[in-house]
Amino acid sequence: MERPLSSALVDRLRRAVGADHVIVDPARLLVYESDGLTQYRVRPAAVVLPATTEEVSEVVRLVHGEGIPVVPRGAGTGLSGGALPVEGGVVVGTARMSRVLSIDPANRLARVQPGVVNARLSEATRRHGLVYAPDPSSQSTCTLGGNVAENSGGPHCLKYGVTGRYVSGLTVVLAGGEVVRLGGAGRAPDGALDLVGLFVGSEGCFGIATEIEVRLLPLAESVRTLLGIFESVEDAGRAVTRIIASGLLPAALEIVDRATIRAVEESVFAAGYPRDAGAALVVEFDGTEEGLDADAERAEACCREAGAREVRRAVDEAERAALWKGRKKAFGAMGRLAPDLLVQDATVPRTRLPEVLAGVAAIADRYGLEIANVFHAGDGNLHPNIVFDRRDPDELARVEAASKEIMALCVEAGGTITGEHGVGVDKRRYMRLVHGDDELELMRAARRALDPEGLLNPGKVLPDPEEAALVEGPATMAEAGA
Amino acid sequence: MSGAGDAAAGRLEALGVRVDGVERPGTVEEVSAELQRAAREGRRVLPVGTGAHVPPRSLPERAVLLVVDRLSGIERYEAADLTLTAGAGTTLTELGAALTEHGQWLPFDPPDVEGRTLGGLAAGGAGSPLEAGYGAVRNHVLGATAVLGDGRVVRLGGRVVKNVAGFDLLRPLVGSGGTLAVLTSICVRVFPVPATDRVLLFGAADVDEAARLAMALARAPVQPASATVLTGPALPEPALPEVRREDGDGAFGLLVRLHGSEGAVEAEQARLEGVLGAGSSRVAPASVPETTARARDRVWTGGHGVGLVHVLPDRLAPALDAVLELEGRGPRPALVADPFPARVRFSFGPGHVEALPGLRRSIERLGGTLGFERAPAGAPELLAALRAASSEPGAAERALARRIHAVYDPGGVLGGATAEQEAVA
Repeated sequence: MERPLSSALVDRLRRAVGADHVIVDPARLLVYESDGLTQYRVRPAAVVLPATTEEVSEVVRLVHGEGIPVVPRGAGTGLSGGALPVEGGVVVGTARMSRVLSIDPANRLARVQPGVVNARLSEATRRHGLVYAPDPSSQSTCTLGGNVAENSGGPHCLKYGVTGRYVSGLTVVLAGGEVVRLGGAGRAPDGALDLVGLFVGSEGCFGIATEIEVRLLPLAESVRTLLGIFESVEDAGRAVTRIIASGLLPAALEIVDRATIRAVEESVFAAGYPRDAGAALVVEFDGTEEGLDADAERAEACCREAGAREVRRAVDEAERAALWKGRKKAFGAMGRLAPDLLVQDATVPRTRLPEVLAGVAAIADRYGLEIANVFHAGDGNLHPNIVFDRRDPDELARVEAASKEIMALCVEAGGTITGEHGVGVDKRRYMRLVHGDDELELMRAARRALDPEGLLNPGKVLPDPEEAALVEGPATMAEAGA
Repeated sequence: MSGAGDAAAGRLEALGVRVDGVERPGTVEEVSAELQRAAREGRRVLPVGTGAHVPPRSLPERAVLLVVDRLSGIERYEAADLTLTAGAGTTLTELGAALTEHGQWLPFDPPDVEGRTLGGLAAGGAGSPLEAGYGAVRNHVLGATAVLGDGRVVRLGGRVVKNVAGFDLLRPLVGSGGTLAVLTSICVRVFPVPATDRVLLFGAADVDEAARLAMALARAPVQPASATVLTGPALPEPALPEVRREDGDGAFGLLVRLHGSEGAVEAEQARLEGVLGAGSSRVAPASVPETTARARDRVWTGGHGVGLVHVLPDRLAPALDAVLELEGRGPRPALVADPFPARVRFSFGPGHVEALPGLRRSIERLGGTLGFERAPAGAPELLAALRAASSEPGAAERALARRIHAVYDPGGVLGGATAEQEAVA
């Protein structure tokens, strides 16, 4: 049942941000019903698009004052339902907050608004010989505000680390509209806690970041990219283990499995990977030109020792793009296999990858599902992708059961339920797999301390206290889509 | 009590802390029981490893010392996964020995690194020159078992590098100085030892030239593992006598550490010499760890207290000038400075203490902060004087920190909320 906002509140919001930037028309609200995890859909009462910290503060203050929930939203590319609206709630979008506020080459810093698209920042800093390192697969559309909320990773985080390593300061609007500045490069006040670190990855539950200060890195001088072709994903996994054990630190180590290769090669994104291959491993090194050939040769030897039947090496940027294509277009290619795609996300200790992948395959067989794997092998970060048709209730139920077993398998192997997509609404029901009552209560206490009324992105991250069973949460995909 | 407990108590008492007792728990359950008892009795607890590196900001007027040295030993070492879990009281020396067997290491090199414990490293979050190439300690602490102020035992994070399963309540613990919880076990990411590890020393006539070299390095086409500006008293000796001028203490140098394959390091050395001046450079002849440790530790062991300045990199030169102005109040302070991120460590003697509030104001005018890494005797009075000298903004951030302290330590047993309230007052 939809609950519209009062006309008085809508008027106040329009005065705060301009009439054009408050959306209440049901047809226009459709766009905001879900994020990248389209299995969940809830229409908000309104979407508000502020342009400045002050406007965000005023909007949050007004909405909070009415006891109405606020859901922050970047580009809506998240894959865990973190930006799923709340019925009767207001979505605060950052689409108009898309300015790079400053680039400080001498101190290797940039200050941005949260709606800046990830890839745009590096485009802006490139002329200074600098780059923003975290590169989520959706970097051409996802925003830095969303990256901060999710502590996003990406293929090159093996060497460079995830978003949290690069965020040095934040301006945050808290639940009641209060503005607070946290951290900042070049400062370490006595007794200060790492509150920036606390906010990064808090999925919009602690506040809305309205300005972000990030560290930049010097652009790597040169790159070497290899593609190893293997008969099996186990062999590719062994190559990864050998590369790491040899002391090499590639910028990226990415594997796609047989099902993914077939999907890509049968699509418009065909990348020239052998259709009969069991797995393909992308290995990339970057850094000083003079050392890269030696690193690439050692990595190639590791691949061959692990059973690679072929190792290709890019000689120019066009070839590099071709070697990456099969990896980067994997998700797009899977779209043609079925109407719906569930991109799962979990992390295991790297050495456990082969057995976990075998376990994922067994789960797929047992439930009669097609699961294609794409993963950041160097980090042990898996993305089992389940293709299905949500209109088929039986298949949807099997997808949910298989997802639960995959999560349990990864946790059993010493891993966790999400490496970079976040918990959102989708994985609340798995939180008890990795956290005990005391840990969950500590998270609740942190949330209460920052948002006593629980109005900021409610229904995300934390399971409800009374939910005891693993999959008996209130928001299964079937219920949400019903 | 015990040797370790006595030593820790002695160190803290010398700094003016009234030690109400020393506990040396051997298990996480004993830590929990001790904190519960302290909460019931309204006593303040100060967790320490050896007690040698407690940040002055964490020093209470009186407390029961909780010495975690018995929570020691490697619990899990997955060399192929590049992760290691050990008790908080495990010394970095012990960890280093185990890691070396597998060609791995921990790329953290704060002063007096060998004398530190893993728990102290994580709780203190001590910065180190290797942050330039490897990132800060907080980026590499993957998981921990911690006991909250009321005795609850929580397991935060995990043992995988990428982990966003819930709010990151581990991150604020790193660098909190033990004011949120007592760390009992910690999982860290470890790294392969680089194939080539080389140290270059570039001489400089004065502090301005040293700072100029540091900024030129930042623009050079190299990716150093670390870079450090040194004053004469901190220059490694006798391994690198060439850059010492006749007047000894007047010399400056820039120590640059390069990691990578032999080919990459050779090329980067050639480029650096092209940018910074080949004529003044020397390859450190001694082993790399000895050379860098000797330079680093001269500051730590050479003075009365150790100050710590943070500024933006392009303000390093005026920050160095401001620190060196202490010279008028006593001997020239030994000094080491890292350009990325920019921080200056300096030793100071009793004669310098009166000038520290003025230095704090100077650093804050540069947009930076002045803190203390090692307390001198009489620390509480000094800290009070420095607080009075601070005009630093951030009341809202401090208020937020108080709320977070209360989440982890509702009864204030670990003192965080109290310390913050004092700072605000």
